[in-house]
Amino acid sequence: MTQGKFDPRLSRRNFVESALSLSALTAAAATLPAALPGMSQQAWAAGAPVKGYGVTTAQLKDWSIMTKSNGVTMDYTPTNADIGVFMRDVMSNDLGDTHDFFIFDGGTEDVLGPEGYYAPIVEDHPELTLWARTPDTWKRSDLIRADDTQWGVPVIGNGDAFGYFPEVIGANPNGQDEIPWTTFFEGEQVKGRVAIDRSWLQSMSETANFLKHHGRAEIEDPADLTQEEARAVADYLVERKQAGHFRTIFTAFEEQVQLLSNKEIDMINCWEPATRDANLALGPGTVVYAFTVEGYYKWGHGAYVATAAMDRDNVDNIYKVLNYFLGGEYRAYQAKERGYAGPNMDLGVEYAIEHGWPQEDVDLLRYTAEKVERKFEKPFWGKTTPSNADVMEEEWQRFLNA
Amino acid sequence: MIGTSDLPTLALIDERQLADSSRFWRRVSRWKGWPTTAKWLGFFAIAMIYVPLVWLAVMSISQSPLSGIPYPLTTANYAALAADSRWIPPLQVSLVMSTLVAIVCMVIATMVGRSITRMRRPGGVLLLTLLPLFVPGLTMGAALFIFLRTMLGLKMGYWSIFLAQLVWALPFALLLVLVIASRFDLRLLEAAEDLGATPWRRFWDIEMPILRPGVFGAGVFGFLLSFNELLRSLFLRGVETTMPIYNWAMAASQQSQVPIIFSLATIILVVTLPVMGVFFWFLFVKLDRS
Amino acid sequence: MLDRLTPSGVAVPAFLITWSLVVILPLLVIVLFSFLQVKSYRVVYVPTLGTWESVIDSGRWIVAVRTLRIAITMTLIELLLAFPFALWLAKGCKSKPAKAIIITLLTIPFFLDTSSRIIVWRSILGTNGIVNTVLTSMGIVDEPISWLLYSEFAVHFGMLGSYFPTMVFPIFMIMSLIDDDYIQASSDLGASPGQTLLYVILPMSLPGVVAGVVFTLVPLMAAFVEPQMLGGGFVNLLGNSVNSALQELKYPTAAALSTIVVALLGVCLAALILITRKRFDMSTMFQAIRR
Repeated sequence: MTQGKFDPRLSRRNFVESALSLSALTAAAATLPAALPGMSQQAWAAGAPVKGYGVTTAQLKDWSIMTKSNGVTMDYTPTNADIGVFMRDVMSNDLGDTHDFFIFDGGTEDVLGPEGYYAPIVEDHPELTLWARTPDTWKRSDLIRADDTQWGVPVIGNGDAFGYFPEVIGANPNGQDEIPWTTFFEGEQVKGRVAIDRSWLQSMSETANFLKHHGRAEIEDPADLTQEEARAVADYLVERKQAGHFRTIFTAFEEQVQLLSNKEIDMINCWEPATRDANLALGPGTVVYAFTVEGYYKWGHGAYVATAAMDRDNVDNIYKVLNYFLGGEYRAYQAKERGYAGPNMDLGVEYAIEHGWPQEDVDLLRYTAEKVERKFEKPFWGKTTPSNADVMEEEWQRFLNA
Repeated sequence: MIGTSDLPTLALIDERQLADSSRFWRRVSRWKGWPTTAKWLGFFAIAMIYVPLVWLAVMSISQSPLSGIPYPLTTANYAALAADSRWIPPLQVSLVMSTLVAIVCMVIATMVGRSITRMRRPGGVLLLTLLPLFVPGLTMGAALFIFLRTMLGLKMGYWSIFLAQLVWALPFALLLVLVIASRFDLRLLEAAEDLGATPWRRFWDIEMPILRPGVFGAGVFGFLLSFNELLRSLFLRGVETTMPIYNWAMAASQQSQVPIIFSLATIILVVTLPVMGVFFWFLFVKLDRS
Repeated sequence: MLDRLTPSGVAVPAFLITWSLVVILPLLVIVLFSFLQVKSYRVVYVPTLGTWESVIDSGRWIVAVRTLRIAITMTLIELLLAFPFALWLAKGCKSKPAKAIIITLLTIPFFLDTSSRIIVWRSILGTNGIVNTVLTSMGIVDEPISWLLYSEFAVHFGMLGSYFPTMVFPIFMIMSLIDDDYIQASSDLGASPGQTLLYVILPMSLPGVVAGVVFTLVPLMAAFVEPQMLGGGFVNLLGNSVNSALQELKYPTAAALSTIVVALLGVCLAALILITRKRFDMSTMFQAIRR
């Protein structure tokens, strides 16, 4: 074949091939400038770090704060709040061989504790100095216990409800009113402008508690619905959906923030930090995270020690970390970054004052403590691994497809 | 030569149909506006890509990027991106992994692709190769996980992520090579053999230059598909983290990642757009003139 | 003579054997899983039809049909947009800088995160978004149009840009390889542009079209972001449903859904082959030229 330079086919061919090879180069080049200034996160780590695996919610922005305070370095593998991925990794991927502890939504110990993946907490371990002063509402919560055994240490938690705009439903703008879930599900003021979470664990339990509270359905445990109960709850939700009550079904945190800050909806059973982020755009107090009449969806992250880790030689360090989760520094940073409470909020307030945090941060910590106290007085339920998970999920799909 | 017609095998032209084509269709087909219409349809689609991108760039300098209101303007998002270095190790893993997948895709797709075009009936092979593409990513991941981990008892790690991404990218790579290879005229090789060329020279000097766009295309698509792959990696990651896995994990952190993500996207846009623009311009205008 | 030009007969068989072991075998295993059930995150190894019954009972199988419907619709729309455009780009666009710019523009989106691109549409299409603000202030509509967002329309709309480049590239690639002489010859012999398109360009670019369809249909079937972000959760597609099942480690349900989809696609393909059988033989499309 001759490759004459006037052959038009040649230039066409060369074009395509150079075009394609170039895009690959640019892909690499585009990411390089960003990659250069960084250093490996573990570069500074000395000694045997404690290896954790768990949700990013429990993560500090920078674990070196903890290293400064208790001398333990942390090597944390982040995962998503996807329960399936977590269960699969712990059960089938031998994570205990490589990792010392796990942080996940409390409830996993119902399955993973008795099956031997978690080691029971040694409550009198010398490094667990704050255990005795930790209130029972936190440490004896059934979210980190199963079969009368203490499987986990409480890390953070909250009672979830919904965010709303006070002026739309005529509520007191100070946000202290108790708003009934009835408004969320049936309020005429918000009809067609309600967003509901796609997570059935949260949405179905909240609906079930609402129906149970008003005696509209026979429900034993709103967080663990039997086939008939789940069907009744799904039927109710399908009816509301077809009545046009819901504007959207959301998933991601970003969606929650956007729905609120665009005022696309009037009510949303979102996570509390979403209302905080939305108020950054809308002005303080525009969106309120509700105190409710009927109760809250309770969740809490627990830290669990891997069974295999108890036979290794850094158990002391692991317990130092567990103790850290109960302490003031961790409390203060979690409340500041996410507005989430946890055990021993008083220590958090103390820490903030001692370290000269601005008054508004201290006030926020105080308010977070009061808020959680107040929520604890109401019915408070939630489960991550309900025994009827399979039927609840299937019924929820019926709602989604209706 | 490349464009040699193979009409007899592809389309059986019905002579009567040619003769019968009505005057109406003849006039429609001669309408001068077709190229313009085609052009504007494409421009419309391109606009659909770029409207959100421009908006995204504007929002990246906005204080609350999700609100839809650009003001007040701020550079805080870029500062946040520079201050956070946790996303860098996963990015490095992804870059290396994608490069490997791209190279392996190119080699296998070339070897297998050129052989398939010599087969009498390549349809069956093709179907078997393309089948896994239509299985949802998570299911494919689950299938590989059950097979490798539960049945064979292997330990997951970088190798299994690599395998999963290769399984995903290879059929695409193969298809690209096939598109080009199917336009290849085997008589060229015959002629070269008559002239005494060795099999290797025939492949490298004659076949390869023609296949090259497809091979490079295979590499590029291999790279990009692997770079963005999440669903299969989720099952086969063990405890390793790639860039998409990192983003996935951070999505649940209940802290908005959007300021950072928007800024990063804008930087990539700003870097790639002029670089590629200049290169393509160089390719078309400068090189072609000589 | 030509037989000796066949590259070593090892490549294809070796590939097929490896492929079957690594890919096809695991898929067959997971199809078998659809006849098991999961209780409390554990697979119960007792054969049952329970999974299939509940997939049908909860209306879950609908997502497979819905996904296919949307994916095929969008693939056809993209084909209609991309085929003429690729033809224009390869043959009609004489300005080289313009060609360079267009190819650049089509390449860039691949580098960017889908979710951040799509989430932006929400502030454009929402009830307080730009479109509705313009429409209401100009008095065209009395109140904001709510179906612009969180509807099937929004999902299709958002997909339009995302899946366009993958359709253009393979078609453009192969059209660039079609020799201008053939088009000229066809015209010289008195064929109308339409006839040239139908009898010369279309058959010669068919492998590119098929590749484009695969390149577009496959990601569309897996579409996850658009239905969630723009469908508002009301457009429940396969990816979302499988994800939900696997969060409870319900491998059987995921397997059953996937089996339904592959089966439906198989039916579509078989129908397509039967219908087009008279015009050309699909199985020989990717053969190299022999004479």
